[in-house]
Amino acid sequence: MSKPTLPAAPTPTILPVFVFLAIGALIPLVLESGFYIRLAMLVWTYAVLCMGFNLLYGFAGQISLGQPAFYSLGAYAYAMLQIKLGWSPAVALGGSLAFVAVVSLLIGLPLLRLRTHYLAMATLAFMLVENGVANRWIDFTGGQSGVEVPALKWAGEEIGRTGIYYTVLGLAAVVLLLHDFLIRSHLGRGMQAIRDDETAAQALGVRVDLYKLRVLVLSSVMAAIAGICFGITSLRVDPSLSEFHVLVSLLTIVVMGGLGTRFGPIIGSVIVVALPQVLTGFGRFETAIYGACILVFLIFLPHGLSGLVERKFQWRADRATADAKRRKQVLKEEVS
Amino acid sequence: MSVPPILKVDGLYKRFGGLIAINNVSFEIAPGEVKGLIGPNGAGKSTTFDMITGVRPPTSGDIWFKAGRITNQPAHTRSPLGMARTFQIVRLFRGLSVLDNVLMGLQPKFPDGLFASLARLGSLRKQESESRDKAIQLLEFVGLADRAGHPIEALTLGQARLVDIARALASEPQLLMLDEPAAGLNDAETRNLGNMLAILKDRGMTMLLVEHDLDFIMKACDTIVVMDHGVKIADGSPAEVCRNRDVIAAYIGRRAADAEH
Repeated sequence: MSKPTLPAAPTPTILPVFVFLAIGALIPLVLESGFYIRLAMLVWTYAVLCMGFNLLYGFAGQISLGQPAFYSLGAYAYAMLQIKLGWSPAVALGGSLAFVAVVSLLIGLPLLRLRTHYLAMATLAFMLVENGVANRWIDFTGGQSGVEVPALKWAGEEIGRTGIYYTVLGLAAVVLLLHDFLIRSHLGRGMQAIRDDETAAQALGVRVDLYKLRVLVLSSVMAAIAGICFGITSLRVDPSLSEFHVLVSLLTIVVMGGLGTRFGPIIGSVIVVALPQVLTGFGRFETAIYGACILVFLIFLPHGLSGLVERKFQWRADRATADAKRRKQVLKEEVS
Repeated sequence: MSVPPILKVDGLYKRFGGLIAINNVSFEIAPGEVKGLIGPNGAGKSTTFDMITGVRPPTSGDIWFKAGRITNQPAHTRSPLGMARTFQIVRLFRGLSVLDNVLMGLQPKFPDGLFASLARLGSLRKQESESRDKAIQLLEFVGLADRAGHPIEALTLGQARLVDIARALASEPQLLMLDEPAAGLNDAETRNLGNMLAILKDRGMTMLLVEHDLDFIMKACDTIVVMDHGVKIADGSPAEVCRNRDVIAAYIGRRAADAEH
């Protein structure tokens, strides 16, 4: 048999990932105002949180509304391990991620037997419990006022706003690279197979339960990284991290950016975090216009902004395949 | 002595509450054999198929594949052992392209999990491109290579069946199990499917076919197991099975069977 003449569907390149990171690295050089840098840090923080959710729901099809709980737990653990146990920031980072991984594993074992809205309700309940504990266990969590996160230091001195920004960018870069690797590899294919048809995936040798658990743990760890990003940015962790507005922002971002797309979480974060700033000019109409924007997205762009672009690429790939087919046909006719 | 069977079903018994769905069913499939499994509605074909593919465990009895007992092994263990199946209701992954669907058949050959994959990052790209070549060859075999980049919803039912077969073949199975592959196909599509199965048979593929279409199964199979009301009533060549009184009775009625003899 001859070598296949049809091109394999092109594996998308990693290039756009580096473009996003390069833009991210240039931001402090271009925007000098502290306000914009803080805004950029918030964009990365939400992007990290949403990339975890994108893998879990957009790709593996498991809806967890408890992501803000893991976001909050990561931030609290990072702060507490430093304050109460005196761990260094780097060790506290590893420790808090390990802690969240264990918690999500324990949550996932019983909950992942549930599907669709049952899973959504159960994970939402977990978020409410976590928020309740953060609010009420005042002796340990500091209640409403929360706990202070020690400022990052380098050689004994606080690293300043730009230093914090690059730390956040570094953490976001790791998550972005992982997110992209998963989506473009066979693992992303396996996750989507589970989302589309568990029985068929199982028949093809995919260990569905194990896959689901792994994705849940990974997305929770990503949420924890986002929580730590928030902690080192705002230097304080309080119960507002696992309140409903975080969940609403998360859902808005993934819908606007595009669920199950490569860059939906980043594009969505830029819009959802930046849009209210742009809209402040509209004064009292701000919220109404914001809501109208979301409706327009839902109606006209069901795959979000990122879906719009990625679908163009898909069409191009299809055309390439079709062209190759035609060339093959012409070749055959010429030979005969 | 003949060669040992590739699949052996031994005294399979399945009870749903008070209903005995499958009662003491046994049969064997030899390497290279194409075995049909037929019977009227409610005969227990699908339940038997489900137990062999690991979707539901039998109440008692045993299933052996090659030398191993797989009776209570979960469904996901079948593919790595060398068993592959297709589905009666097409169960392709709707969010994946045609090519990616076929690639899923190769999933157990890829490293399992994030860390294992990252550890083999170097060889992963090569494995992916080799797998794509192989998947395209399989799509060429079923005549759908020009659809590689298409979404599943662009396929007809007949084409979707063929993609399902290509996906099952991707794992290089030693036993291919097809659940009513001709259901819902038109004549041309059924003929095309028949030709394809004949080619696979010539290449030595062992197959188990559950089918409703008697014409189709008589042509495609070496031997046929007939079931009725959860019991095996015949097991033999198509010609033998056609003459069997119990088979005629099950399909047409007792009096017709008596009239023929």
